[in-house]
Amino acid sequence: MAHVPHTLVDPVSLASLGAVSTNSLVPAQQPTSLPQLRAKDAYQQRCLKCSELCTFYSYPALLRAALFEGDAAVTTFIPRPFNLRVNGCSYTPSIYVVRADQRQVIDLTLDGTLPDEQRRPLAAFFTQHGLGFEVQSHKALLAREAEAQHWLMILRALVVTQHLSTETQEFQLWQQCQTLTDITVGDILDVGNRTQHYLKELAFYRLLYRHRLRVDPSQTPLTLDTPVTLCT
Amino acid sequence: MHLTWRQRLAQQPQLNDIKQWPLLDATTLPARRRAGYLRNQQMVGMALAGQPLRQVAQQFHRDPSVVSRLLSRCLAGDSEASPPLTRGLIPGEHLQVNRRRAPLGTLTEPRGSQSAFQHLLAVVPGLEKGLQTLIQSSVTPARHGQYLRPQTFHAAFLRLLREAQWPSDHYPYTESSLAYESTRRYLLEQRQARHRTKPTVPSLMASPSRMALAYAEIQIDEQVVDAAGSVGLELHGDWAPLRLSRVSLLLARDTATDCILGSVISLTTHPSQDDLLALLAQLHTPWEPMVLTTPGLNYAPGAGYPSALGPEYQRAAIGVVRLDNALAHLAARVRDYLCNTLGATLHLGLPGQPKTRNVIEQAFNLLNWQVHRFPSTTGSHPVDPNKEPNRHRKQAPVLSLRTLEEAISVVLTEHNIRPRAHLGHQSPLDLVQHQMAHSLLPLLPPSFPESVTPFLSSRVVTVRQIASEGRPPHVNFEKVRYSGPALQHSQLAGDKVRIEFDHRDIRTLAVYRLTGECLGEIHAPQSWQRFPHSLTTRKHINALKRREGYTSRDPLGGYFDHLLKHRKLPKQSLELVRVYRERETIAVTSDVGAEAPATAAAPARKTAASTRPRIPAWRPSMVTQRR
Repeated sequence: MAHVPHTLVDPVSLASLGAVSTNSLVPAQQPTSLPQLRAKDAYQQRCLKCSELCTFYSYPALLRAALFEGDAAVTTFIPRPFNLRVNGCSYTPSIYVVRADQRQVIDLTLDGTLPDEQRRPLAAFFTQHGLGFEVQSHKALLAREAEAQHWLMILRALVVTQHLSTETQEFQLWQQCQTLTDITVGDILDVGNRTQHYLKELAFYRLLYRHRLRVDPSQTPLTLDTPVTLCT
Repeated sequence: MHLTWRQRLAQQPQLNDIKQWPLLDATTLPARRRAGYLRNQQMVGMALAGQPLRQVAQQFHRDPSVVSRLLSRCLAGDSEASPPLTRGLIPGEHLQVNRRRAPLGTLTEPRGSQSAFQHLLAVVPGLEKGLQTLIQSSVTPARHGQYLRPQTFHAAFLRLLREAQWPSDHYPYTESSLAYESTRRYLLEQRQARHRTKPTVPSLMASPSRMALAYAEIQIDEQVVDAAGSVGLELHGDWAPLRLSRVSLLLARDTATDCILGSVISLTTHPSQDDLLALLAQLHTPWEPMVLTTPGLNYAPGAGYPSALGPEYQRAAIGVVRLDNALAHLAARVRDYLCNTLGATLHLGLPGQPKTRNVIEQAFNLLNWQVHRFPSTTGSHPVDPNKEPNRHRKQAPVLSLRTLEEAISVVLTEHNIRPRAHLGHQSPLDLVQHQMAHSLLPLLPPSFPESVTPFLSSRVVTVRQIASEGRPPHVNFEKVRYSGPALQHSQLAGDKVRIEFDHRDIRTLAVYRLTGECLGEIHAPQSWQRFPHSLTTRKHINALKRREGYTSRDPLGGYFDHLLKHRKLPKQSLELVRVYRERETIAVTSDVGAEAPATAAAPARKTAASTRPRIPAWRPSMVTQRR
C-alpha cells in the first residue's frame, strides 16, 4: 500500500502523519462483500445526493445520511468513502460530505470519540489534504431521529419518481401557498382522491425537498393538520 | 423508623380503603396461590372496613393473630419505605431480603443458623470476594479456571475461612454439614445469575422505535411449516397417496398495525430469492381468496389481506423492510427490487438477533398454535410429545397439501380481522383502512403495479456462431442454446447483446443490443419447449445432469420420469408437485396473455407464447405415452 505524499505542518503531525496511508483519496463507497453484509447491522437505501446504492453499517449512519439529504447546503455525500490504514489497522470513516465550500469526513462512533492514537493522525492527515474531520456520536444523531425520519420519508417518495415531471403542479402549489395564510397539509392535498392528485402530492414533496416549502421536521409522520410555511 | 400496621393506617388513612391498593389480577397467580390470595384479600378488606379482628378470624376459622400478622405483612415496615400492600396478600411471596440480626451461635451457646451463611459472607474479610473469583473463573472459560463442583467449592469455602482465622467454635463449625448445603446453593445461584441473559439496555445501535403509520416498517421472514402434507397421485390408473416433505411459509407483516400483508407457500424447505420476490410482488397485486375445498373450512367475513381492499392499497410505499441475513435475502435481485424499484430501506439485522423482528416471529408463533393441531405435525422440538410418531411416518399423512394451504390461508387472513387490545380494540385491517383514509400514507406512482415485475432479469451474453457446424447464430443461456430470428443479423456473431428473461418461464428470451435497440426474441430448442419451466427448474435439471450423468433427448420429460421414479422420497414428491404447479400456473398466465391485444413495439412475449401450439396439461400418464 503506497503512502500518499504530503507536506508536514507541525511537529505533532510530523510524528503522526506517517501512520496513515491509503491507496486513493478519491472518495468512493467501499465495496461490501456478502459476508460483511451478513455480519453488520446493515441498512441499504437509494439516496438522491449519492449516485450509488448506499450501504450503512449502523442505524445512526442512515440517520446521518437522511439529515444530509435534508440539508440544503450539502450537495453530495458518500458513505464509507476511503479505506485507510492507521497505525497498521484498517480504518474506514463513515461519511464523506461536500458542502458549498468545504469537504468533510465524518466518523460516527457510539460516544463521539476516537482513541487518541487514531484521532490525532487522522485529523492531521485529513487537514493536510484539505478535508475537515469530525467525530459524531450516535446519541447526538438519535436525538434528531424524528427529523431524519421526516427526510427519509420524503426521500423514499422521490427516489422512485424521478422520471415524473411535476413542474406545473409545483408552480400551482407554490402560487396556492402564496395566496393562503395559516396553511396545513390538508389544505393543499386531497386525501380523498390521491390517485388523481398523485402528481400534486409529489410536487409537494419536491418543494419540501428543495426547501421552497417547509413543515416542522420534528413532526413525523406528516398529518393533515401539519402546518406548512413558505421558505423565503 | 419502624411503623406498625396501626401506625401506618394512622399516618396514611387512605390505605383504609383496600380499593386504593394496587390492583393485582388474581388470574396471573399460580392456582396454588390464588385461593390463599383471595382469602387474605377478604380478611384484610373486612378488617380495614372496621370489623373486629376476632370476628374476622372466626369467619375464616383462623386465629386472630393470623389476621394481625397479615395486616403487619401488608402495612408494617420502615416509615420511609412504601409498604408491600397487595404483594403482602400473596401467600409465600418473599417481601424482604433475610438478614441475620442475632450474633452467630457457638459450640457453647447455640443460636440457630438462619441466614448465618449470608452473615458470614458479610463479616469474614475476603470470603465473598474469594468465592466470587472462583465462580467467575469457572463460568468464563479461562486457562487458569477450573470446573467447580459443590464439593470442591465447599472445600474452598472452608479454606478461605481458615485463612481468615475464623474461630473454630463458631458457625459453620457448629454444624455437622459445615454449611455444605448453603455453599452448594450459593454456587448454583451465582452461576445462574451469571448465565442469565443480561437485561436489555436500550442500545444506541438498536433499530428504530415502532413507527405509527402502516407500511412504515414491515418485517419478512420464512419458516418451514411444522406439519407434513400429502398429495394423491394417479399413475397407470392407480391412485396412491404420497408423503410430501414439509413446505415453507413466507410472511410479511406490518409492524405498526400487526397486519399480515401477504404470504407465500414455497414447495421447498429452502425458499429462494424467487419466493421472496413473489411475496414482495404479492403486496402490490390484489389478493384473491383460495377456492376452499376442505369441508368445514371457510373464510371469515371480511377476512383478507390489505391488497384486496383497493388499488391504493396495492400502491402503498414501504418504508423499512426488515429481513434476517439468510442468503436468499442478500440476493442482488432482492436488494435491487427493494431499494431501487420500491425505494424502501432494506435492513439486514445482526446475525442471531431475531428479537429485532419480533413481530414476524410472533406471527409464526400464532400460526404454529394451529398447525400443531394436525397429527402429522413435527412439533416444536425433537422431543415434543405432539410430534408425529415414527410408526406413522411410513404412510402418507391424512392431511393433504391443499388442506394445509387452505388452513394456513384461513388462519392468516382471520388474524387481520380480529380486534386487538393494543390496537385500541380495532382489527389490523380496520386500522390500515383508517390510516389510508385519514393519513398521508406514502404511495407509489399510479402506474406502479402494472409497470413493474420483480421477475424480469437481464444478462449480457456473447452471440456465438460456429462455422464448422453450419448452424445459425445462438447464445448460451443456462447451458442451452437459444436461437431465433433476432440473431440473424450477419454482423452480430461475436458481439455482446443483452438478453432479458422472465424467471418464471425461460423458453423465450428478448434480445437487445447494448445500445438498447430491441432485436426481437429467441427461443430454446424444441426439446425444451415441451412445457413451460422456470429458471429454478432448469437449474435443478442441470444439477441432476451434473450429479448423475443424466442425459435425455427430452430433458423436461426425463426430469418428470426421474421424479416419478423417486416419488417415494418426500422431497422428490414435493418437487414433483412444484414442477406440476409451475407448469399449470405458467400455462394459465400464457393463456391470459393471449387474450390481451398485442403491442407493436415491445417484444410481446406472452403473445408470442400463445402463437405456439397449445401445450396440453401435464399428467403422469404422459410418461406412458412417451414410452
